[in-house]
This record gives sequence, structure tokens and C-alpha cells, in this order.
Amino acid sequence: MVALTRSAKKRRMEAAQTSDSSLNDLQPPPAMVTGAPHPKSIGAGEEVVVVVVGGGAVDRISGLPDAILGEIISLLPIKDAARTQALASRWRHLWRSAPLSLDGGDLPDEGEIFRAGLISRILAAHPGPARRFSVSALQLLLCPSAVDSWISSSALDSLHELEFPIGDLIHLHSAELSLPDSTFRFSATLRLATISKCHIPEGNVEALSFPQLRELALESVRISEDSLQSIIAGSPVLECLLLSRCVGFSRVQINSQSLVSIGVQSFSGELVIENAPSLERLLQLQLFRDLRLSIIAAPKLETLGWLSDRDHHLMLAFGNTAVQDLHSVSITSVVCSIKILAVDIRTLSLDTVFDLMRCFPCLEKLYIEFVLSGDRNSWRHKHPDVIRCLDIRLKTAVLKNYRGIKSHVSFASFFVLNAKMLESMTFEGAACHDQKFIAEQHSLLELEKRVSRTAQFYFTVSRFWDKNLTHIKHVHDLSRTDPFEC
Amino acid sequence: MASAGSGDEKAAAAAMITLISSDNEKFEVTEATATLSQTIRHMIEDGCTDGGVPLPNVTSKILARVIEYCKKHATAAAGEEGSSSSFSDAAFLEVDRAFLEELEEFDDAFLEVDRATLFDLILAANYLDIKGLLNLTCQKVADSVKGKTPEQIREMYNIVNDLTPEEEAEIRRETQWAFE
Repeated sequence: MVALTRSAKKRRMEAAQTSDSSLNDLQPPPAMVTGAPHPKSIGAGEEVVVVVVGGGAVDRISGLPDAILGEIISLLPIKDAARTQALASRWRHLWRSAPLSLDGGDLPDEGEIFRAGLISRILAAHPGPARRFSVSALQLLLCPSAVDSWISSSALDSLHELEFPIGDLIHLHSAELSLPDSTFRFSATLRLATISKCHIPEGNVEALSFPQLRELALESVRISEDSLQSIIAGSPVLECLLLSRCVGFSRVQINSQSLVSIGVQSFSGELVIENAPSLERLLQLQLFRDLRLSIIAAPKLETLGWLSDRDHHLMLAFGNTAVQDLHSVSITSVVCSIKILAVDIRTLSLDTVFDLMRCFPCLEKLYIEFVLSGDRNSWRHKHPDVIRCLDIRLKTAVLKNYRGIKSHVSFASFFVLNAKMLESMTFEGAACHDQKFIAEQHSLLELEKRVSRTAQFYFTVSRFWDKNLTHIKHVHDLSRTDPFEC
Repeated sequence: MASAGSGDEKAAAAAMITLISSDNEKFEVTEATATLSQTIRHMIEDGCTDGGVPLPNVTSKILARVIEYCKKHATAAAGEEGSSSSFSDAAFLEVDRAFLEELEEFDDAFLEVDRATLFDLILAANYLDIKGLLNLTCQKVADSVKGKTPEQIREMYNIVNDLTPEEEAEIRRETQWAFE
């Protein structure tokens, strides 16, 4: 079963001369043989070769079973992976027998046409099956017939991850490319799919099921409501769904036992979370798009944002109550699951925030961006009852556009002096780098009298306006615990 | 994730399993820790763990490290189950995040080993079928060869190039794109 081959074949000793401290076992210990792999789960029955260089360092890596070396090779960028063939005879056939993982982005950047040629050569050289195939959506525009032939290639059989990242095509308005007909031949094995800039014609996906699909991103895709619904319904383990700039439907109805995160961008329509028992995060990646959001049953929904009261057409409803805007939400609903909320409000007003805290009594983290400072926010005499009955659980507050004027100070000091569980409060504003300003604010905000003794206060210069959550570039990014932290 | 019946689960979590290394050292671990190994999980399911589980391919030195990994990750798995259940305690979110960060740090520190140990861990993870540990260790090896030429990789891992110049030229010709 275990063969120990001495550096028999050719006496190329250069490798042996090199010293590698960690591998300088001068004598191959007998344990090397007894402790040799006994591959059970993968690579069963393989012959294990421990290659020993005459009197020198031991080549442990080549002694690993084929399946493990294949695993390591599949984790490498495509060029690195293919180059392993030239290491030694032991390695020559491994790349071809390991699952193919091909990301066009890893190929030299000499234009997409050049890359297309390379991709064709790689797919011709590898017999498959494949784990991952990712090529820019630009390929669909420039080389549609090549993409067609790649997708049909047997090298891509049993594909787990298929991605057509949108890349620079994001700036192209008119193009609506067509997806190769055979794209959905992978439906049974796909775990992740990113489709961009395409039209998914009606009838293409309705009959399909995606039993293993966990992450799906549709970017600038034209798809009908029925097709979209049937993909969601046909994906029983789908966890993350990103719908970005998609058209062709005006309503999405979510009924999914498995969905954990949903991100929508530039969607002017109705998003109805009818039943989503696992849903934790619901993100609007771009404001002011007339989203009408109705959350009927999402008992685990913890993270919500951005929402804005400046968005005239935003409609928000929890449960079966019909609610019109951010302000009236609090009058009609109490949603205990929400812990992280990001809101953009016209006027920095304690009353608005009190309303939100009544609606979301378990809120722990609040991001607020505001435009105007009209409200005086004097609370000391006005709100004693409110303070008494509000159970403020807020741990983190981030205040953007902070200028430290009276109304801002009054607003913020409410939390300094009343939020018992406060851990950190961040003030972002143009002046927040100035030591004099910060010292002044320290005393105005009465930070010494903070009710939560462990609370930390941070002053930072305004960061880039990122209510559009532009750092969420990939469907993976939807699984960040706090997507508003950037 | 977990099997149904929380009562049974508690009983099972308390059950201890004895693992016996190749050099005959005995390690007592909880079933939750041991079952991160699919190989051991199957043995438990088949009821053949009485008197200890002999692991003739794993030395005590490596087994101790593997158990360290499994203990940490078994706690993580238990934490995950806790948070996804009906607890609505406000503290959970923070705890979760802190724990994930801690786990990442643990993994990074865990990988700070010499290459010989790394290969032993890979083989043990493979034999015991511990997916997380196998992925972690294979990724470490992959990262170490990324961007390197065949010559550099050979030198790093003491691989003897036994290809004839003709064979090597052929490989380079066939997959020229990889060498450009």
C-alpha cells in the first residue's frame, strides 16, 4: 500500500541542496511511513508515495494523496494551477484531474478578446468537471458565440459557481445581451450564480429547479415577474439574493424558508416579504427609488436600511397594516426583531428617533444621516415621560453630518445622558478632525456625565457618502453582519 | 444542523469519547467535539466507540492539535445554533460577531506551524474527514505557492524535478498561456 521511493529516477539534486528549516528532517523517520496517509474519505485506495531526496530534505507535499493535491490546485488562480504540471512527473496529470476553477479576472489584462482566446484554450485543455467559471459580462457582448461554446463545453460539467460579473458594462445603458441557451444546464449543481446585463426570456427557467443554489445575483437583468418567482420558488436553499437594477417586473413576493439576506438596488416597485422565517437582513442599496416595502412575516429580521423620509414614494408596512412612510410606521407597529437600522432623515429630530425606537424597541445600532437641523431637540423638560417609558437599548449610534451646533448637541446629549447600554457613539462631520472643536464638543455634550460609563465617543471626518452601500459589490457581501459599517 | 430532540442532544453532548493516538495516548473529548470528524461520527452512529477509538494514523502530537481545533469549532457550532433559535436577547448579535472574529484569529494562529506539522494536519483532517480543517490547511498551502514559478515551488517544498527537459518543454508548450 505504501511505497517509499528514494530519489531514484534522475539525480537532479538542486532541490536537495536548498535548506528549508521546517523540512530539514535529515533522516526520513520511520514515522513518515506509518504516519502516512490512510485516505478514507477522499483519495481512497491511492498509492501514497513519500519522495525522499537522497540524504537531504524530504518532499512531503508530493506525498499527499491525489485528491488533496487536487483540492490545493483547485484553490489556485488558473495560471498557478496549470503551472503545477511542470513541477515533477508526480504533478503532471494532477491539474487535469482536479476540478477546474477558472476566473477570467486572473488572466492577463490584455483585453477581453485576448482573454477569450485563452479561455477557449484552457477549456480545451481541461477535461472537467468544473467548480467555478467566471468571465466578465463584456464577453457576452464581444464574443457571444465563444461564450456559447464555453458554456456547452464538457469542461464545465457539474459547475458549482457561474459568474458573469458586470464590470464596466455597468455604465452601458442600452445593451441587453442574451444568455447562452445552455446556461441553465447547470441548474442541478449550481451553488452560486451571478448573471448580468442579460435578458432571461420567459419560459427559460420556469420548469427548472436549483436544488443547491445558495447565492444568486441578478444585475441589470431583464426578467419577468413569473420567471423571477419561479427561480426563487425553485431554490429551496437560497440564502442570499441580490437584485440590482433589474427590470421587467414590478413586484417581488418573497416566500422562502431559506433566504437570510436580500439586497435590492434601484428597484421601483413592490417588495413583499410574505413569509421569510430565516430572513435577517433587508437592504436597499440605493435610496429614492420608490420602493414599496411590505414585511408581513419575517420574525428574524434584524437589519434594515437605508430608508429615508425624504423618499416621497417610500412605503413601508409591517404585518398586515398599511403604512405610508417612515414616520407613521411607528404609530402602527412594534417590530422587536430589528437591531440594526440605517435611516436618512430630512430633519434631525429626537421626536422622529423616539418614534423609531418605539417601533423598534430592541434597536441596538442606529445610523442616522440628516439634511436639516430645524428642530431644537430640547428634551430635558419636554420629554421626561418619554425617557421614563422608553427602554433604550441602543449600544451604537453613528451620526453623520454632525456640525456640533446647538440642535445637534442637544440631540446627541440625549443619548449620552440616557442610553444606559451605550457602547460607542460616532460623530462624523467636516469639523470632526479639529482638536479644538472636539474638546469643545466634549464639554457641550457632557461626556463626563455619560450614563454608560464604558461608552466610547469617536469624532471622524465625514467619510464618503455611502448610503448607496457601494461597498456591496458581490452577493457574498450581503452576509456581512453589519453592512452599514464601511 | 442538529438532530431533533433537545433532551437527547443534551445527553449526547455530555457523553465522552476516548480517542487513542498511534503512540497509544488517550484523549477524552466530548461527543460534540469528536463528531466534527465525519469518520468518528459514523463510528458513533454504528455504535463502535466503546473502549475508545483507535486512530493508528494520527500521532498524539497531531491529535492534540486536531482536538484543539475541533473544540474551538464545536463551541462555534453550538453558539450558532443558540443564536438561530428563539432567543431574542439583545446581547446575541454582539456575542456572535465577537466570536466569529475570535474564531478567525484562532484559525490564523492555529496555522502558525512548521510545514511538517501542516502536512500532518492535512493528512489527519483527511483521514478523520474534518472538512473545515482540511479546507483551512489546504488553503494555507495554496496561498504559499500562489504567484510562484515552478522553480520557486520546487525549492520551497524540496520537490525533485524528475521530468526530462523534453517533457518539461512539452508541458510548457501545451499550456503556454500559464507560463507567459
